[in-house]
Amino acid sequence: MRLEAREVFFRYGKKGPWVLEGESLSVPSGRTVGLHGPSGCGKTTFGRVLAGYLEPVAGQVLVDGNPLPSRGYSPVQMVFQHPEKSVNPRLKLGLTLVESWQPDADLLEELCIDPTWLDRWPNELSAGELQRICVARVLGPRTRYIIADEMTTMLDPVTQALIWKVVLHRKDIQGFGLLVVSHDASLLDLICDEVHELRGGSLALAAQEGA
Amino acid sequence: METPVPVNAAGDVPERYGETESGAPLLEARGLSISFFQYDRGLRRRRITPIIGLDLTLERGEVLAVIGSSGSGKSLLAHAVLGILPSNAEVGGELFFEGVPLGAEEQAELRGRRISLVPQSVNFLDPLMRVGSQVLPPGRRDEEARDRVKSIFKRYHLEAEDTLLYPFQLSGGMARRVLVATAVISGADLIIADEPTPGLHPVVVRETLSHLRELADEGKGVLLITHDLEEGLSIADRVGVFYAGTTVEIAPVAAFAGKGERLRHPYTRALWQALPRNGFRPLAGSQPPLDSLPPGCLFQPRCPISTTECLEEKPALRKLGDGWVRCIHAA
Repeated sequence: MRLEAREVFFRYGKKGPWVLEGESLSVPSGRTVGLHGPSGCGKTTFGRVLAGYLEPVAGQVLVDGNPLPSRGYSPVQMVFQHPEKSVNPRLKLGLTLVESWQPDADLLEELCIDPTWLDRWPNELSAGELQRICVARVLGPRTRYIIADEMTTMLDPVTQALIWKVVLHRKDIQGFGLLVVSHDASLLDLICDEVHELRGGSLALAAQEGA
Repeated sequence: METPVPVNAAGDVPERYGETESGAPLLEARGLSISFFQYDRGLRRRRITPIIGLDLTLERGEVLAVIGSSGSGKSLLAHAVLGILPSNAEVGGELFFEGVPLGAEEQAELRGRRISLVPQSVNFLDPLMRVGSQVLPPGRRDEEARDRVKSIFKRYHLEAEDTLLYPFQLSGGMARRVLVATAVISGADLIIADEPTPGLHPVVVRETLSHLRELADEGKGVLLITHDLEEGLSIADRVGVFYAGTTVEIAPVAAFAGKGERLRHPYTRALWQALPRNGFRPLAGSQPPLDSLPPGCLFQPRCPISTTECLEEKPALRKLGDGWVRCIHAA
């Protein structure tokens, strides 16, 4: 059981530079795989391709040997860097939390989600508080793989440690596969079973030269 | 308005935060508070207080890093110093620049001249104006000022022709160098860098931070506002830890070592021990909501060493050894 990218090519537009040039990656169930690389090298794009938000130009993305389902709940869920952009600003957080499942009280307690937050609007909470809701939202039983794209980059260290403790604990219980996309090598070394370096396509090379 | 009184007798411990033996600091905040009314449903208003009772000082030649989580309101500190808060903000407490109280008039006079901002992103530049023109100090359009721009651009590895570019033509690294160059061109004594590095290539991050350090080494004061403790530690002399709108501790960088034995506030120690390299220890709970702050210590609800005394009143920032701490139990 694994989430797999096979020789994936991707670029934005028909003539843009290649962002992903023949990338392959495997995330086995129950394992934590890290994806490392400098900003601009295509980490987020790769995550979006693996989650099915972007269609690869060539190559395949397979979930447990099958293509990603085109409708219904996706077994591959993504958590983004900016939680304030990942929730509906016009929904109170109680509704956002239960978008895909009804998280149990234990989970809310582990994530230190204060019940009063559920009656608030997204703009009333800090990024660290919103991200806990976004994490609880994807930890349902139908999720088989989670792509955490710089999930705790913008958060303070104590909230970062709290969120990872809960996600890794749930991974051990539920057995989902976890892809951790981050520029933070010390975080990846600490929590991942294996870490892959994204070499990136011609775009990444250009970005490095431009830096 | 009175200026801060320097403490003269050697060895005297100043009673209040900000009273230093060397005279007035470059920048000082005393009990700074910022609150807003936010509209809820319809006309229902609620008052939120993102900054409450914040104290800090910044000396010339120093980098002070203010560390706070994102969305915690720490950018408001930069905006308050520059006097560019939105008009519905209520500001309390006092700000001093070289010992002189900072009012709206002083701020308008000083910003862009003696106080300069290195903003978060290239979005702060005017997209329809060539960069060489918009980095000129206010009111300067003469040849001498333009020559100065070119020579400072050169220092940051930007070509004279780059002054003719528009912001969209800059790479991420160049944009960052233009923003730092802007602060240098103004000749400002106080440079406020507000989250200057997110989303940048590590090479650019290191370069930007070393430029800020250099400016402090030349005698300017740099206030680095960031959510990234490691980034702050890499160039700062002292670190101010921002929690729930206030500074809970101001400690020298050297105190961030080992298991954090030299850190005095329980939140600072928790931050240090939560870093991946220091044990990755989480802290339960969350910051108090901005519209209902507890009457006592703002960290009390999450504090491992709190007592009933902590519930009574907000502790003052007090001097302890080589740092300042806002905790009645710190020793």
